[in-house]
Amino acid sequence: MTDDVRLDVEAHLLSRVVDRADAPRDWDDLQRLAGDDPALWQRLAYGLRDDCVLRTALSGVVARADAVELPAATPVTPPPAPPQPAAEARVGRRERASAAMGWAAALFLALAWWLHAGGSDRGVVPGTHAPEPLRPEAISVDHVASEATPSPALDDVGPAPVDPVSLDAGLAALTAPARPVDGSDADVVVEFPKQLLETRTLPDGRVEVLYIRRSVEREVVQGAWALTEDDLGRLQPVPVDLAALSPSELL
Amino acid sequence: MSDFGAAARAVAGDRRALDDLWREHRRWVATVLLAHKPRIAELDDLLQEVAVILVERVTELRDPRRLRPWLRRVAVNVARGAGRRQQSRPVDALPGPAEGLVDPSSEVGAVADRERLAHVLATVGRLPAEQREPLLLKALHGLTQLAIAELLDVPETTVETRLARARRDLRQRLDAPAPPRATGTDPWANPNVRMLP
Repeated sequence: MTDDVRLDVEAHLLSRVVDRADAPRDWDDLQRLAGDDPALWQRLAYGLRDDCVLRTALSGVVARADAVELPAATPVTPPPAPPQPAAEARVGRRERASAAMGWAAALFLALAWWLHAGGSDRGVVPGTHAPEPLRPEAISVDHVASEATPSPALDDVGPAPVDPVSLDAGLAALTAPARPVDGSDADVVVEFPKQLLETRTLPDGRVEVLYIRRSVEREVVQGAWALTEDDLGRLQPVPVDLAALSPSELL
Repeated sequence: MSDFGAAARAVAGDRRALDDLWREHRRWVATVLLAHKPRIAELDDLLQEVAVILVERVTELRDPRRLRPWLRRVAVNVARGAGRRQQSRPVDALPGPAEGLVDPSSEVGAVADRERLAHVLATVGRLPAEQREPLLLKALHGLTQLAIAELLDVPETTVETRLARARRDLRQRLDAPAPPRATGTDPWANPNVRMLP
């Protein structure tokens, strides 16, 4: 056995011991080799220690992977024709059916809402013809900025105007010069689409819809006060520095 | 390799199955990155890169049984891409305690142990990547040679040979007289420079 071959055999034997993949015959071979070179046992001990050092030193590094999750926003798109076993195919069909039912429910809710709240105002009878599309000029900047007040706006139960119109009007109104202080109510600058909270079918077949109405209003004021308790527990008005408030704070 | 069902669901677009797979595999993916990445690259950043590719491309995988080798290939490519970007030398791939990567809660406490640890890590970092990868996968995850062979897409005997040579070369390099310590910016000049007590 040449030295190179001997070293190669020894390396394989020691590696098997370190890997806990050794067999009784490997130990016979190791003992025979160590008869000529007792330092082999020391090399075996070093090999075991090197393995231990690596494991100890780097296990914490690799454990940092536990903090890395898959990105949440990126959608997973199914392949055109995935080769699925029967069980996986059933799962896929079930998921597709669930998705279709979800869309159908959303469509039903939107239709019910539209019919109840504003469809009849436009003279549209379901099933006869398509609703008249909203025209941009139907909501003017002047109307929004100068005439609308919170009360009539909140009394209006019709559907919210489509986004582009509302946003355009809102942007225009926001850039318009502020009115002088005259004690009038705040202006509704823009009304956003209502946000659905809950729906409930009533005994007579109609649908009750619970939603949040979102609007931006503007008001010019002399100042503002907040009520706080003094040392005796009495409510006292305290002036609020409106200019120092950040946009997200509640009034 | 019993996760065929989960892999099939993930490939078919099941996000929950994909999340579960990632949690199961991300540690050895980190090990593959560790074996191939340039020293300067942040492991966390590379893992994020692999995670993004996994989400975006997993549905293109034809055979779910190939998920592990595919994921390992993605990790290797990400690590090599980082290497190309930084024009780093592969010989400097493995991080060491000088970069603060050693688990501070590990049992490596004494100065002598830490110096030995730094020496071992530095030497492992100078092994060829094809030896370093199976060595780390074995040491850190206890994968069988067959499992490593499937990951690396090589015969099992090749893995056995690479492991044996990696350990032998590691030992020979560790036994060799230490080179004179460099000064200046070489992080190995003082292996305890950023070691936590």
